[in-house]
Amino acid sequence: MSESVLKLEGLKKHFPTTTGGVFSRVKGVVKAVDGVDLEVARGETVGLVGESGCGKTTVGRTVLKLYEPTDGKIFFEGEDITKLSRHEMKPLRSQMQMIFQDPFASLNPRHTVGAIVSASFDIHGIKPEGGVKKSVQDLLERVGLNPEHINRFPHEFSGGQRQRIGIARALALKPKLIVADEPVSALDVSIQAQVVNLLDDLQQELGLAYLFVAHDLSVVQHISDRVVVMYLGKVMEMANTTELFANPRHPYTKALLSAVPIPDPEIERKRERIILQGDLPSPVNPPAGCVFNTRCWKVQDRCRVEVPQVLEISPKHTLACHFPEGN
Amino acid sequence: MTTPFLEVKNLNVSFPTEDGEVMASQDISFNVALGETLAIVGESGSGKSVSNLAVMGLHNRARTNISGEAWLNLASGPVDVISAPEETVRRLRGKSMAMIFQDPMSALHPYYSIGDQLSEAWRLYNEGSKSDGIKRAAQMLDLVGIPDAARRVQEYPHQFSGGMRQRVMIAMALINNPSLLIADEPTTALDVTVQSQILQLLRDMQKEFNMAVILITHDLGVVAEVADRVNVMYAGKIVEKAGIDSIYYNSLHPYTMGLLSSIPRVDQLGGHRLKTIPGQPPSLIGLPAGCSFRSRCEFASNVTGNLCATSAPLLEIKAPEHASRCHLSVEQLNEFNPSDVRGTHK
Ligand SMILES: Nc1ncnc2c1ncn2[C@@H]1O[C@H](COP(=O)(O)OP(=O)(O)OP(=O)(O)O)[C@@H](O)[C@H]1O
Ligand SMILES: Nc1ncnc2c1ncn2[C@@H]1O[C@H](COP(=O)(O)OP(=O)(O)OP(=O)(O)O)[C@@H](O)[C@H]1O
Ligand code: SF4
Ligand SMILES: [Mg+2]
Ligand SMILES: [Mg+2]
Repeated sequence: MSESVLKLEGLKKHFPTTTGGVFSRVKGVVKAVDGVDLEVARGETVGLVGESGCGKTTVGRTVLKLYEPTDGKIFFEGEDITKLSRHEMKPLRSQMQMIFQDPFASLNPRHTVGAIVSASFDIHGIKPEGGVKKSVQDLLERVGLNPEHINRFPHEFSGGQRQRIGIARALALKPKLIVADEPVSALDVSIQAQVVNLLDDLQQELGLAYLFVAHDLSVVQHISDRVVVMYLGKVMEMANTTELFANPRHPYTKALLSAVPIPDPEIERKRERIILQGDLPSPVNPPAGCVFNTRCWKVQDRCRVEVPQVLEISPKHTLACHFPEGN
Repeated sequence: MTTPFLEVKNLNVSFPTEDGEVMASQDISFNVALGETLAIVGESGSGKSVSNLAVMGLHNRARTNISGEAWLNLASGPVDVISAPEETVRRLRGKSMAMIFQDPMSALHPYYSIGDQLSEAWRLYNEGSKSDGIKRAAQMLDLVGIPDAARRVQEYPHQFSGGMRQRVMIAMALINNPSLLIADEPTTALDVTVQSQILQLLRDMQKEFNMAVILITHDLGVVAEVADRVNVMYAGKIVEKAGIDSIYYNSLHPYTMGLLSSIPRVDQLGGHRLKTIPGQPPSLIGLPAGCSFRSRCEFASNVTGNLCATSAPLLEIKAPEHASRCHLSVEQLNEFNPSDVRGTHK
């Protein structure tokens, strides 16, 4: 059995919505994440995909305890960290890091690259071997930046280089888990490939575990060992990457895969697309029964009343659907 | 061969700045016919938007240097929108040509209802009362697939989802039946399921109105889905120009080849390393002599006499309906084209 780095059991994160104004009252809750089970092992990449607003970022932030979970459990290397206080979390923080989506907004424009990357050492009172400057230069080199650029400011770098600075910062404390939230979405295709390869190399070298959040399925398919498909705060399907892309069983997974454009005109001309009607329903008022029932082409009465259980339909392939595709 | 609706000839756009002149688009020439979709692809900053904004007459003429020609072949006779008076171009915009922008929120006014905004756009060119305008607005919303259109015309932009706002933008662009539609990254901000709804809609609308469509994007998957022909841009210039299949299966430019092999594909297994184009595009101020792609080109050393460093290649016809801006010969280019670019099914 491979070592588990991260394990989530029935994770929920609900946000209260208020009426606004001075005497605001709680009006309802946004069920941003509503019962998610998943596990990431050492050296493994788990991709988290789904439509905008389905709760991917919220899962990532809750894993790092940037949000307090509403319910469920979070285990880090076997230890239950759900109830740990900020203070108790501090030693663990260095081992779990996040890479943010936007390389422009997530770096302080007034700090040099050296200051940005070394900030984590200060926060955690760590004195790296060989000194801070040397460590920062090593990190810059490792992510493919010129170590001599340590005194430059973020605006002097391109988008892809800035994303590398973010990666260097995340690596500074030798984490075991990196939550990468849309790390390449803001980048151009040619630069995207550079960053994806870098993440691959670092994983090989350091045995990192990645929770890789993205809505670009081609990138997710390329980088992930396993993929979790979310819809409206819930997991619809989870399987190893090859299995999921070859044999999607949930209608939502199937629609999602059929919508991804393939850069090959002949294939595109022959392709059948499943075009979903309508929009993602509001997570304040999710549909009863299966949350996907309002857009599913296989919907039957049962789907509108009974929540489908998450079942393991074959080893390591789980599914929540009353009327799955195929077989 | 049908006459093209839009003919762009040797268009140059540059911006004088404190640091020097930004050569944003250089020597741009292309045509689009009615009913046809031309895709314009290339890296961020390669001049895709700038060249098309010039066609739409949307640059500030006082602060932009524009030269060249862009002819609209209207029923009433051809008009060059580059040299025509601003007033003439303003009249054509919205009526004969329209543009959809990437960010629908910035193009819609937050304080006016969707119906009012659509109705205003219609009444600019049509005789009719406000209520006629609202009726037309509801008709258009219905056409672009917004359910319950008659009621939703009264709503405001924030009450619409991202995908629905993009539909509203399309409705607004199409409300006066333009002959040319320029869609600048119309689906980049949307996720795949909504993206495929919008692309389907654009295709239906093109058929319905027999429009010439220019689609600007850097998503080569989207291009494969909708385009008839493709212009590939790099550092302000068109570097390759051909029919869709020639670009994907038989590219004759090193930049296009690099671009095509750096994208992961859902229909191919992961695991292999993505190919990258090392380095970055040059600054558009004081572009280096020679080929702009040279510093990143893996084949430049095959050109004799260091030509890539000293002389800028011209966009020349290298095969039928296929132009490329590269010093390499067709034979060399064919040899260097990695086989996986040509698709696994071949
Ligand atoms: N702090 C918050 N307070 C209230 N609601 C929130 C908060 N953060 C997220 N939400 C809501 O929770 C839901 C899930 O949001 P989340 O950002 O996790 O989605 P996502 O899957 O990351 O989407 P995207 O692909 O657009 O980034 C959304 O409906 C969002 O509006
Ligand atoms: N008003 C301006 N003044 C100076 N430079 C400008 C101006 N507008 C655009 N540019 C520059 O011109 C170049 C081409 O810009 P353009 O917007 O056409 O790129 P693009 O290909 O559309 O890129 P993207 O994919 O990021 O939209 C860029 O380098 C840009 O910085
Ligand atoms: S002209 Fe030279 S540098 Fe430019 S693309 Fe061709 S071979 Fe490469
Ligand atoms: Mg997110
Ligand atoms: Mg642009």
